[in-house]
Amino acid sequence: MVNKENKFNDIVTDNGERIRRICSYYSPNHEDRKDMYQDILVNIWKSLDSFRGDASINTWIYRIAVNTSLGFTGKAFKQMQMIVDVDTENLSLLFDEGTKEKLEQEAQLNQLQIELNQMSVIDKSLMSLMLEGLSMREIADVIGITEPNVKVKIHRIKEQLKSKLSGGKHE
Amino acid sequence: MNNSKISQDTNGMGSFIDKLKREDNNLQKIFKILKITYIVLLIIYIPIFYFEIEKGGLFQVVKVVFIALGFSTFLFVFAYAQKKIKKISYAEPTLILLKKTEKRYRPFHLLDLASIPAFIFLVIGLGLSKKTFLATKEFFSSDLNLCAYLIEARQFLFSGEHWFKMLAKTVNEFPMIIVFMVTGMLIFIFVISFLAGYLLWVSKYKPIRDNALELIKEIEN
Repeated sequence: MVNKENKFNDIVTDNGERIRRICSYYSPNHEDRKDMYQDILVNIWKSLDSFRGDASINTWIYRIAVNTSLGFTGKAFKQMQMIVDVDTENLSLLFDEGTKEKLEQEAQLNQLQIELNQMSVIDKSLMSLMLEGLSMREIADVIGITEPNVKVKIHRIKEQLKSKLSGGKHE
Repeated sequence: MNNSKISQDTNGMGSFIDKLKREDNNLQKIFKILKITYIVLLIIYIPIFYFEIEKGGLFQVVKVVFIALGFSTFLFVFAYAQKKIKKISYAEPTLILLKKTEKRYRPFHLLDLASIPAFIFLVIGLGLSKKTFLATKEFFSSDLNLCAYLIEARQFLFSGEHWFKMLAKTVNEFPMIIVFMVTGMLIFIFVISFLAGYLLWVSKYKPIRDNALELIKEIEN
C-alpha cells in the first residue's frame, strides 16, 4: 500500500498540471473542473495496480483523463463545453501560420469557441489531445483506433473549422 | 512526496489519500462480507445436511445435492460478477472501454442464465419430499382432468377448507393442489422479479448503454 501511495504521489506531482489542463478543456465551471480532477485521480488510483508499463505513462494518464471525462459528462455530454483561449498551448496546430494572430481578435476567438462546442464529444476529445501536443500515434493509443483513422478524423475536423471560420468559403 | 504535498496538489482536498484508501477497503470489505456469509451458511447447513443424510433414503441425499448445487451456482455467478466489476479499468483505450461498457450494460448476459438453474436447484432441493414426490407421481398417473384441480384450487383459495391439509401427515391427505399453488407462486415471483429487473435496466442502465453505443458509432465512423 505504501509503495502504491508513493507511486501515486509521483504521478500526481509529475502530471497534476496536465490533468488540470485536460479538465479545463471540458468544463468552464471551476467546481466541475475540481470534481473532474478528483474523479481522474480516483481512477488513476484504482487503475494503478493494473499499470504494467505497456503504454507510456503519458498515454496511460491521458486515457484515464479522457475516459473519465466521457463518464463525467454523462447524460449531458452533448452540452460539454470545450474551453480554449489565446494562451492555449499548441493552438497554432489547428491553423496555418498567421491565423493565430487573427484569432486573437476577440470575435474570431468567440467564433472558434462556438464552433468547437458544436463538435461531437469524440471530436472534442481528439482536439483536446491534439492541443496537448500528442502525436497521431499517441492519440491513436489513447482512443483505441488506428493512426491513419486519427489523421483522417483530425484532418476532417480542421477542414470543418477552417470552413466555418472563413464563412463557408473554405472546403 | 509526503501527504502534505499531495494535499496541495489536489486543490487542498485534505485527506485525499485516505479517501482513495477507503475506495480499496470498501471493495475488500464487500468480498470479506461475502466470504463470511458463505462460511456462516456452510456452518449452518453442514449439520443439516449431515442429519438429512443420516435419516437415509434417496430423497434426503437428492435434496442435499440440489440445495448444495443451488448455493454453489449462485455463489459462482455472484463471485464472477464481482470479479468482472473489479476488473473495470479506466486506463484502457477509449474504444475498448466503451465496448466493454456496452457489453456490461446489456439487458441479458449469458451468465444470467446460470441463475435460472441455481433457482430451480434450490426450489427442488427445498421443496422435495416423499409427500410431494408421491403426490406429483399420482397426479400424472391419474385420470383426473385439470378442471377438477381448478375447482379444488378455488376451494383452497376461497373456502379455506383445505388449508389444514398443508400439515397433512399422509400422502393421501396431501392435496396435489398445494404443489401447484407453491409452484405457481414461485413462477409468479420469478416473473415479477424478471419484470422489475427489466424496468430497472430500462430506467437506469439503458441510457448508459445507449450513450456508449452512440460514442462507439462515432469513433468507428
